[in-house]
Amino acid sequence: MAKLLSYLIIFIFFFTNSFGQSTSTCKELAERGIAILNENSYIPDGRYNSTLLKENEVSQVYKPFIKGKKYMIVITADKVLPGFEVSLADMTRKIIYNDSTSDNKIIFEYTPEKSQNLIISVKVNESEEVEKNLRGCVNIIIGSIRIID
Amino acid sequence: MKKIIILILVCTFIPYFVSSCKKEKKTDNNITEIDSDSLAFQKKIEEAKEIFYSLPAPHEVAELLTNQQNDAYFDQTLLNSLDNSEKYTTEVAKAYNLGIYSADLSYASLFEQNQIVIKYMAKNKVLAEQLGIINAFDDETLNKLQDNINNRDQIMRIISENFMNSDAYLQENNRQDIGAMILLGGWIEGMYIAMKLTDCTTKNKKLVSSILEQKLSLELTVKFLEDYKNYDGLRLFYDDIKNLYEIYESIPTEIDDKGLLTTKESDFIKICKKIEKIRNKIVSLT
Repeated sequence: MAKLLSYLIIFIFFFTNSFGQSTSTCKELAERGIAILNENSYIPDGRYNSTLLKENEVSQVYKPFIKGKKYMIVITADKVLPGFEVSLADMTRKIIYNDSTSDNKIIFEYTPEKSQNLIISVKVNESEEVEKNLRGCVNIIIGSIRIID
Repeated sequence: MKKIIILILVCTFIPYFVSSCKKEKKTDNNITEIDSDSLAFQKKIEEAKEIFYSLPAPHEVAELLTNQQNDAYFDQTLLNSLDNSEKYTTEVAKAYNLGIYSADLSYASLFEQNQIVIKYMAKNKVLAEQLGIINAFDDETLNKLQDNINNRDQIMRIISENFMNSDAYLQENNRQDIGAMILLGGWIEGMYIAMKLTDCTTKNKKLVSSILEQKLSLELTVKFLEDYKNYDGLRLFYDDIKNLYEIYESIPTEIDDKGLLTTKESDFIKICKKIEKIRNKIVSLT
């Protein structure tokens, strides 16, 4: 029985690790983001903002947000990561919006009252349950629709 | 012992099943400004591992021509002639002019110039392949474009997804410099076409306002180029772009009663001339 248990532990170790590293590629996450934008009739901006992060690391997108458009921001992260926090801030770093999740997805919409450059920041949560140096993909996909014609 | 094994199995596999069944989280549209109480997070965002400057893709720049019913129209003479493509022999010339042709393609698409769209799409495909961007403009995309030629939003969606695929390919192959040159070329061409459609006057107030609003993109472009000055191809236009930004910065603007940005015609002409100079420099690359 002890032998069986040791095989089982080895199997589980490899299974969990290989699962953790390969749940989804960055491109697949981006495609999921695009699909969400399309379902909601938003037109993607065509930019690929994707990077590998580990816990406590941050990725940012600087983007002009134009009055007269409504935006949808889709952040998707690899399931191996312990969730993340997102913020939308102006160039003086004043936070306009923030949210966090222990899940692997946040979607939010934003309608600017004036045209300005904004910064979307995504920080991967800290977790004692996740291996410290485990990296996973974080993807920020942005779409817009015109609301003034 | 059996209990231990079962316990290990349950603890190991349940999180995967749980995580794969979680629902999509979508917040509401009404975002209110909040106090910045997350100081730790705010401090952390100063130390980003990766920064993306989301410069507008060529189709986004071309889109400003059709925003707000600004009386823009199609003028084929404004496009960079396809005949010029033969002289683009270096990687830098190909990348910048792929951006130029992409913006031309988007401009033609928005005004339903079907034959021109197909010709420019074919040329974009050739240039992209020469730059090593595999499957950038495949036959399926071309067919989708033809099928949706009268559906403006769908065309924008197809071009956008196509652009994202190229962007992804270049980033994943550490060729961000090529991607940036394509974006810069596309941005300049979009601005050039918009400028030409105003005849460098301030009569078309909506289009002029859109052009003035592009100062935001320009600000990010300058920041981006500062970070990527080590790349020869990007350094090539750094001074020009910075100078253009300085011109924008020096021009006083006002917001009129319709919420449009306005400026004096003499100042607008300064932007116009600089854009034309940069654009001509790009199409003359070899």
